[in-house]
Amino acid sequence: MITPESYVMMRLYHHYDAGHLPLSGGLMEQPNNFLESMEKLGGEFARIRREKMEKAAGK
Amino acid sequence: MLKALNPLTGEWYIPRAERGKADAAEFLIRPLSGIERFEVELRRDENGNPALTERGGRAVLKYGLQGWKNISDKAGVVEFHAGDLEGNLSRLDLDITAELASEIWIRSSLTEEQRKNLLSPPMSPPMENNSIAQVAGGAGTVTIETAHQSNNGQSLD
Repeated sequence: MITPESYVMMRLYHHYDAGHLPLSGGLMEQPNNFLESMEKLGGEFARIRREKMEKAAGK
Repeated sequence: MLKALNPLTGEWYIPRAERGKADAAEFLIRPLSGIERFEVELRRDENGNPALTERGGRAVLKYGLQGWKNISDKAGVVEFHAGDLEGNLSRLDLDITAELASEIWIRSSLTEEQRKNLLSPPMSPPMENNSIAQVAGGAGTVTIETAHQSNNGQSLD
């Protein structure tokens, strides 16, 4: 289940990953809950990548 | 209503005890930024959940409380003074202060439910799939919450 809120955060992750922030200012001047969302998504994406690599290496 | 970004702009908040009153006190509050969050001290409550300490609550209010209206005493209207946290807090009831700190903190952090939803499968790393539809997973479609899906994303139809 993807809520509208998490859907928006996943959209924003692409921009965050490319170095673009939603508000003017530096990284730490962004809303804290936005940063927490990006950290969680980044961690999850890293885990998925790692699992895919391990799966590919095991073939 | 979708609150996507929760940007750092203030919103008027009416404390629970004031709701329904014609001249209800209102407070302008906003969520904290990442750097402001660093000043917030937390502790573990009896259930092991994070909770604000008194110092943490003050830090939350220092940044998150931006103004008020409909506050008065015997002498008349009490003005909010930006930058004078102690002066402002000295004019408020402790219950209201705690409620405001808690509300600002809730708006500044992800709730457990939001964390769970954010990490709900299926997802793919963005570097491998550039379109939003692909990131959301599935057969190239984006799935927004519907009554026809189970928690693991499988169709119940």
